Amino acid sequence: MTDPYKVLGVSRDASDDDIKQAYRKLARKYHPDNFATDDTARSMAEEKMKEINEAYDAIQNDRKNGRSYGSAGSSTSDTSYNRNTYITVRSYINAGRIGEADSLLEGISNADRGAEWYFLKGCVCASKGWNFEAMNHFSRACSMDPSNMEYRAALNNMQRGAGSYNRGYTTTTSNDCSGCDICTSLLCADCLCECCGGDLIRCC
Amino acid sequence: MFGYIKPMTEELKVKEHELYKSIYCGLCSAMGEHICTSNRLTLSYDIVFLALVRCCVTGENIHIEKKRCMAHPVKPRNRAYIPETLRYCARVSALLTFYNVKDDVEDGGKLSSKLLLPSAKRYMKKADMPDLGEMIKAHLDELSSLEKENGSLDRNADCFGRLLGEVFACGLENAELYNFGYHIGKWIYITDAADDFEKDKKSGEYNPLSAYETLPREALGIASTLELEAAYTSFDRLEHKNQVLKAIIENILTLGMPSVSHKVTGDNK
Repeated sequence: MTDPYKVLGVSRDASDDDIKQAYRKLARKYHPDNFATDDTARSMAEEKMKEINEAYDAIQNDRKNGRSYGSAGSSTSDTSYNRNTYITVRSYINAGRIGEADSLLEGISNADRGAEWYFLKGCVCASKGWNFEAMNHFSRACSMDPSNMEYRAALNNMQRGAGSYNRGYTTTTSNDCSGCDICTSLLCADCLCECCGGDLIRCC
Repeated sequence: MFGYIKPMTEELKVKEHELYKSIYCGLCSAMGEHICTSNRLTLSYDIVFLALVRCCVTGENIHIEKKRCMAHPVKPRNRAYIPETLRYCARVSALLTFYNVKDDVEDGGKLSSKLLLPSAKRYMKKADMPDLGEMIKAHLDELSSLEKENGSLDRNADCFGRLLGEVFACGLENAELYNFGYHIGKWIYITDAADDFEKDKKSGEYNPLSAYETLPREALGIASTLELEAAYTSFDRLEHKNQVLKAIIENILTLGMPSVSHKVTGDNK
């Protein structure tokens, strides 16, 4: 397979935001909607689009799973048995064998679960798209071992990911415009009244 | 369903708002036509959203007429006719209403749901989509057993997501549309759990977050935003055959739904 970073035209150390932007730009350009009239161009665009989507997914997966899992954890409280298990878990996560990684983690008793356990559990959850639990586990790992940069990075990564989507929304409504709120409430009330046969706002 | 999926109306163009309202009206009348007049009271914004997305993907022709109805006997309103899409949405809505009411009754729920059950049963028969009904039932059964096990929020949301994925993609054989529905479903489940948190705490009803003393706002906010982002990425990849509908859906995904998340998980609740 071709290098996904080349497909999107970004460098390997580009930030997540840059990658997303590059992806969106290309996706807009090659979207089959733009070639509705020309069948050959359209099928070529569809192919290109597929390639772009695959590249984007590949990078996303890489980054989700590959946040430097290679390094063994620095947690000192864990027993050596667990440390070996954690190395295996990391290699499973890297290989995308999430189910096996999860059952290995679940095999560790509650009392032995240190910061690294919560971090790895968070990674497993994040790979499945279970973001709520992932957040909780990452936060827990960070509070148990505040000096660990790997755990901190995982937590920041999720916060940043969500932040970039919300930006558009918060800038338009950051001043909590109460006039808009009134309009929305009135429209809702209008709809409710209309359901029951009445009408609050004549013109709509 | 829940009615969380609304556009931010003040950011819609006039023509987009007009189209939205006429599809709302069209769906209401389709529910009356295919199911039953009383069923029209269960119309929700979420089903309107389903109609918008399916119509945008299939590109079915929208025909608009001015019509009067019981709710608006004096002034005629624009009503959209999109036969295939709206028939499907009316049926889905009837099925969801039925299983919702039935669930309530089985949990020893309110008197109102007991009274509603016979008519809900009629809606289900009228919907006449046994396969889809079975699918919905299987997922809702799975969900209620997960809820009884006190499973995690994400596990439940995943189950509800699969249900909505099927509902969005049913009959269209479109994997991306399934993905889109899956993330929308997860978002709805998370939002609903957060929204009902205080209420359920008081009444002692089931809530997937009941293990928490206070609402875990940050984690919920991030989890729901990431679902929206995934849904938006999926939507970008779909084929959009109607640009006005596309603009409405983008408004809902980038403004309407985030504002609900914000309200539900924000501090100024």
